[in-house]
Amino acid sequence: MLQVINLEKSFGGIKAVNGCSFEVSKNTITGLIGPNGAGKTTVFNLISGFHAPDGGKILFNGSRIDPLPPYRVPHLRLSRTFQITRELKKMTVIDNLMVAPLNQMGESLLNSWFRIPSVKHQEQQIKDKALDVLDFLEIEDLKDEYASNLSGGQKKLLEFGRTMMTDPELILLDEPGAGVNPTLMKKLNGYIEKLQRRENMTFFLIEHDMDLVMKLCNPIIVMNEGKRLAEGTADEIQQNQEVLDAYLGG
Amino acid sequence: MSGAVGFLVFFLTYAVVYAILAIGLNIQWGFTGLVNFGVAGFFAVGAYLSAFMTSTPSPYHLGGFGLPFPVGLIVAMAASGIFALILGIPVIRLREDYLAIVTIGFAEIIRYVIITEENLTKGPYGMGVIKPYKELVPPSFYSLFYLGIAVIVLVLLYVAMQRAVHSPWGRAIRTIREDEQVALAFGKNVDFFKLQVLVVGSMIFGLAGAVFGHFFNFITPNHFLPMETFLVWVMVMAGGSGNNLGVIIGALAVRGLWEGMMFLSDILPQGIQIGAVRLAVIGLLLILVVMVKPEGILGEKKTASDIL
Repeated sequence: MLQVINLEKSFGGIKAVNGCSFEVSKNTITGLIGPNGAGKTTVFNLISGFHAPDGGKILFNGSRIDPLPPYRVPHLRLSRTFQITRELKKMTVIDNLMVAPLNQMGESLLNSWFRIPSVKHQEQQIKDKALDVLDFLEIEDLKDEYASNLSGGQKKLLEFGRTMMTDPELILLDEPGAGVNPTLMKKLNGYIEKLQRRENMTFFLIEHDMDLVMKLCNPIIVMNEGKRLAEGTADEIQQNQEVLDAYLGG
Repeated sequence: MSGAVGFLVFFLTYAVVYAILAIGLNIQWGFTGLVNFGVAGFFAVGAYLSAFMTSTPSPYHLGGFGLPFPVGLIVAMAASGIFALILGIPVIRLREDYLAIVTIGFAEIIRYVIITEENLTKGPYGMGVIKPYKELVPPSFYSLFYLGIAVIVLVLLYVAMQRAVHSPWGRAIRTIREDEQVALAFGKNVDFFKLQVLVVGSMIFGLAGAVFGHFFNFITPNHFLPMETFLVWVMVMAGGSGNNLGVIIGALAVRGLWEGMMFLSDILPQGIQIGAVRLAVIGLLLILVVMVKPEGILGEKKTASDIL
């Protein structure tokens, strides 16, 4: 589904991604791990179009996506979250969700004035979907709350919910567990597994919580110094000496 | 009309012109986060273009087509919009502070072109602007009649902009204001939205310029100093950035304060200039608003879209 081929990206003199290649297969929960500075988030930024690569290719469902501007990438049904939650603070929880769907007719200035029935109909569908997502994430009672008033964990759920609004085939989750308490994390895992099974969604996630990664992800890709170091099941990764050395600094 | 009523009508018409400007800036800054310090430039473009279109033929300035007042308004808006588009295409990606520098530079270029191109604009001497529909009412009621026209323009604009900002389009531009990266991550063409907002807001400034010119009946480059832009910013911040009704109230309040301080000139000690006192008070007001009520008199409406 997603192929990253010999990807390169430098910032000044630092090679953040240095010839990295891997694949993410359809309907998997693929983990991306590695020590700090391994280049994981840069890879996510390259896939989602936020950075332009210096070299290499990114293919999604067989088409090159690396030359696309970032706003074109979600239209291919590839959605992402951010490492640090980026809730729209001065907007309500439901508006945070309702802004996410693509190709909204009401986002044309003329349609905002004339409000033809199909615009209203689409808006109603978007609202119903947002309420379903809030219900699924069990935060329906917060729908009219400003996003800035949510707890850290609730913001993570909101960000996760926002990606669900776009009907993605592939969701990139950048540290979904960061700052989330164990109970909420268990819940979030449940949601990811449920969506993968029921909706055939594919997840590609960066995470530092090894228990979570080992339990949830298969396969797991390990990055170090901008390259793919290893790939395999949780057991294979745990027994890989190169991986252990990278983490322990050996 | 007596002096007091005449002054009140004058003040209200002036305030309505600024309320139109404030709605334009509110779309740009209040809802989208675009920093436009060149409001006065687009205001001037609108005022001069409407004057050119509606004035009688003259060898001393451009235009003189004698076209009807509504055509003047439309051309004023279109010209300001075209200027915004030409300016916006290369600079719309600039960060807030750089966009502020570019727009203030644009406004000053416009003002200096008006000053120096005397054969087109009558330069610093200023040019007369017609009183539209003056044959319809007795001269003593004309000011009140024109206030009515200005209020109608404001109300129509208010309704149109309320529909625009409280819709999915408004929700998208609020998203851009909150976080451009999120807007991009959810498929919004941020540059295109920002360009639309720059153009629409600037068309509104042009409209205000036309309404102002026909109200004052005389325009000079001195009507379009950077101070006018500063005043509109204070109106938006005091009234409630992100709330169109709030910024109308802000325009009335700040314009009222500005005009009201004129009466202080009789009681101020000799040597203190009213112009300096006005600036100090408005500056103080801005500081107070930011410290005490940063959301302004009326804050932003909680729900982004009222389309359902």
